[in-house]
Amino acid sequence: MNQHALEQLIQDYSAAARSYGRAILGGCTNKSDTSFDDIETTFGRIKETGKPGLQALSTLLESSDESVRLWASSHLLNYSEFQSAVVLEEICSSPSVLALTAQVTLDRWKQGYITY
Amino acid sequence: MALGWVPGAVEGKIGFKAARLGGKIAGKAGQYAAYYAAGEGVEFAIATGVETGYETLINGRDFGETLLQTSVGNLIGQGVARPLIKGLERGAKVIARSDAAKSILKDAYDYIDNHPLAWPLTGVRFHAVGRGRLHTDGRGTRLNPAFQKGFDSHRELVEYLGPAGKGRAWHHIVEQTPANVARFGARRIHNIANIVNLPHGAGSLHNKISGFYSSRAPGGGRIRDWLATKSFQKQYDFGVQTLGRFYEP
Repeated sequence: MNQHALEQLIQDYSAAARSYGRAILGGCTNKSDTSFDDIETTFGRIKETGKPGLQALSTLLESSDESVRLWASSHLLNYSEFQSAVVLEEICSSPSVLALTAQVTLDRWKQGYITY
Repeated sequence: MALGWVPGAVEGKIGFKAARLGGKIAGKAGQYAAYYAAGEGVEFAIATGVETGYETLINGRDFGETLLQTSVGNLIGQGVARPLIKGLERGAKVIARSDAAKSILKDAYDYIDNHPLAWPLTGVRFHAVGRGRLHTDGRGTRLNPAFQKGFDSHRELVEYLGPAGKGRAWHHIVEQTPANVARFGARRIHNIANIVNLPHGAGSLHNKISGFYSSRAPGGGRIRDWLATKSFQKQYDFGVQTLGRFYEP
């Protein structure tokens, strides 16, 4: 995959993650489910590119959007070189409801249920 | 915890602290006094600005934060009740030492007893509905954590509470799923300490909470399914946190 295509995937991932955050805050399960599917599908394609894809995804750990950070950090939890658990822990102290999603994700990860 | 009733004006060193919060409160003697009380470590203070006719209820721990600023005409009611509950939740004793303060507190307590909605909005621990939530003795008024009343079914609970009201719904903090009822018992789930009255309908607080519980988190599972594996207390705390995070004053 060329660089341009990878950048496009990262943009798609970011857009879907933002959409997920908006849907959660608005209480719209249908939209958050759709965004969830988009995020997971796009992550799958990013992961297929190997290390360059994960490296590109890690740039989203510094996104200004909390939902983007939530998803990027969750997807990178099992790749210790990115230390994304720290980002997820930071989100846990946010006043947003996404903090609770981060708490759930960390708890499930510690129990071995996050297998990305 | 200490509590202060601070009548009248305090000038000088605390003036700038109040003034920095904005011109709208500067110059109001009672608010100065309340901020002074807060700065001195008073847990909860009610001050009356006699000269201006304004009252302010101050959360002493969060010095610098105005929890309430309203005219006398709007003072009695949830404007006082919400921050008052916050203080009570944190163990503050509230003592009124003047007739004016006693009158304000009495009305606030009456409001709390008659308006269950005031409870969840503070994002605090106890959400019981009905008289008995507050315990008063010679040392002041506190929440009564022992106050509970359970029922065998949701129908019986609602019969006791009455209708939620138009555009509103009774919301269980720990969800009334069959699994929860089986694990914790019907009387713990269908309990006045586990239920709050919320706005209901498209875009409402109730729907946002329900939507969040139904959402899928990273890894695939729904929030509701994860929560179902937790203890009653964990589910309750999570429910209160969810309420607090979605609530917009």
